[in-house]
Amino acid sequence: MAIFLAPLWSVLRQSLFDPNFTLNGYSEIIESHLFIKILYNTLQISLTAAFVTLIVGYPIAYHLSRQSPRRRALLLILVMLPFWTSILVKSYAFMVILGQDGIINTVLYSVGLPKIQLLYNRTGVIIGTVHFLVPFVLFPIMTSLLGQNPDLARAAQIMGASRLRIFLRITLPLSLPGVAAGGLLALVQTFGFFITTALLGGRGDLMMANLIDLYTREILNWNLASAVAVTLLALSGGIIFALGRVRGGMSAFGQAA
Amino acid sequence: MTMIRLEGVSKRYGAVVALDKSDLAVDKGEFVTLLGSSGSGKTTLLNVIAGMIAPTTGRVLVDGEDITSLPPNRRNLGMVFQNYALLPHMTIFENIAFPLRIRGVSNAEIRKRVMDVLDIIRLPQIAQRKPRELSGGQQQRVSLARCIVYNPSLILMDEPLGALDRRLREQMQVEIKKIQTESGITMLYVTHDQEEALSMSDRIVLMDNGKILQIGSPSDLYFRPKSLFAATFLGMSNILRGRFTTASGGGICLPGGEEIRLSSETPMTGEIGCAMVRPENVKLAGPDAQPNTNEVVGELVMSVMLGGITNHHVELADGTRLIAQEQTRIDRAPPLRGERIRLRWEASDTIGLPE
Ligand SMILES: Nc1ncnc2c1ncn2[C@@H]1O[C@H](COP(=O)(O)OP(=O)(O)OP(=O)(O)O)[C@@H](O)[C@H]1O
Ligand SMILES: [Mg+2]
Repeated sequence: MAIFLAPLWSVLRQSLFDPNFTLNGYSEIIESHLFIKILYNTLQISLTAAFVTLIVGYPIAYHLSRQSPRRRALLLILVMLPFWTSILVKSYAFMVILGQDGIINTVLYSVGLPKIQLLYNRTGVIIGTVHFLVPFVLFPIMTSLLGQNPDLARAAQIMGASRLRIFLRITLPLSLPGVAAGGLLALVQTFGFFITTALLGGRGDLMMANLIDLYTREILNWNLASAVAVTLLALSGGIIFALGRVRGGMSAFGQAA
Repeated sequence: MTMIRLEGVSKRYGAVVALDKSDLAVDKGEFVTLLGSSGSGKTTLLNVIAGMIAPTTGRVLVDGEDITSLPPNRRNLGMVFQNYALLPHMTIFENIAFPLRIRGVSNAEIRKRVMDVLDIIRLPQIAQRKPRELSGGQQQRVSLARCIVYNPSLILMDEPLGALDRRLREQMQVEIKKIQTESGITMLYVTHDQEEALSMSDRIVLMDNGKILQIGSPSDLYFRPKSLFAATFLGMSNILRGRFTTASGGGICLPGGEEIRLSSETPMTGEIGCAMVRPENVKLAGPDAQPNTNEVVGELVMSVMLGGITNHHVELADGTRLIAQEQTRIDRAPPLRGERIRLRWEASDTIGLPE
């Protein structure tokens, strides 16, 4: 515990003392256009990415939840493989796939379609982020789908309900706690994103973590960097708190398949 | 009029025969129970009818129409589950309205019909509650109401009372039976509780090991079982093993030489078999012999007083144990342990059964 808390403490101290007690760091970032812009960026990218991740992750989780436990375990390993790969490696892989002469554009070009800009812009950031986040939303959603009493769908079917109605009126509403938990989990993750934005994003896609990097390495203002970090931490903490309040949120962290 | 008919229906999983070729016909308004121990194929049979399991062979007909290949949602059946299967995110009203909404019933009509069935299950005040705010017995009544409300041709129930405690279960048995009789719904009910089957059913389908062993009214199954399994599965029974003889009217000769007379001729003369008599038909007898009765002598092992009745356990010379059931009498001293007891019963209460 102490090992985790010590650096946090030192960051907090650094944001408040320079070397004497001061709130300058905080007042400066609140007044800073750059900070506001980047906070806005961060929220926008995070929310979009979390939303897209849910859209992508839900069908996968749904599909996985319908497999036999054995098959599910196998498919999960496949889904998780990229998860165990370093985010740096993944981001470079995306550069190869999404780049101007990357796989996608080469295919588009060869069938006579115009090339599209997928890298160094918002699209690139979202694609990279979503790819990273999918496993995070998979588990909470799958857990809430698997936790549903299968007799509910059977009962509805015998009552005459179509598959679509069963999904819309029963399966989906009952899985919403898992969706909320997954979404919040994804959101927290994106706040700290750095490498993906740095490698796949353009100049307008800087996020909070990049800002911290900027302050510490380029401007060497540790007080400011720490203030940003603490703000980020508070934001994440708020979301984790919300996560705890969501029903089934706890299971998002625990039990997998 | 036959509501539902199964013709040669069977289900196998690889080498496992979950349900052997079975035929069954249930009449409109009838209450039929599938009774059998765990793994006997009751749920399989029910799910074949519901359309949740495709049979390996055979046909399912409702009102003469072959529905074997129809999906569950187009069979217009109802099913009550052991765990109630109420939708936890909807109010009781919405739960009961659910099948009506599927059928496109108007809102006004839905209101009326939901309130009507809530009256039938005597829970008119719970419409706006969520399922988790109800007791198990109340939830089960709601789940029955959810079936009744759309008038399915048949309601299937798979051990609906299995999760309730004994007292509540008995109340619910009476309640379900009452609702069924008053509304004239056809019900196919699954249980492994023989008392439940005896008390509720018009007819019982006795199953074992994927096979239908016997179909008949409760008293048929109880007093005229066709197999040793049926005799021992339902109620208490006394079994005497011996060899069938041609004695007048049919009989069985015990190893000790006593001749037991049976209620009817047996086609199995010369074969090993048994005679079955219910404990309530066996009496402790005085020394005076009587015609047309069976008599054996044994030693009293114990007498168990169960309130209004007392069971006397008597062991014969060959080790066979019989139970004689009598009304408890306080004006007469009970027999003592180890006392020699003469047991007597009517030949007409004695059933000959193959081994
Ligand atoms: N999906 C399946 N795969 C293989 N065997 C099965 C399957 N479903 C059922 N069986 C087998 O078929 C037999 C009958 O099962 P069924 O569920 O119909 O029994 P049951 O009478 O309902 O028992 P219970 O009282 O325990 O509910 C059992 O031996 C069971 O193991
Ligand atoms: Mg069963």
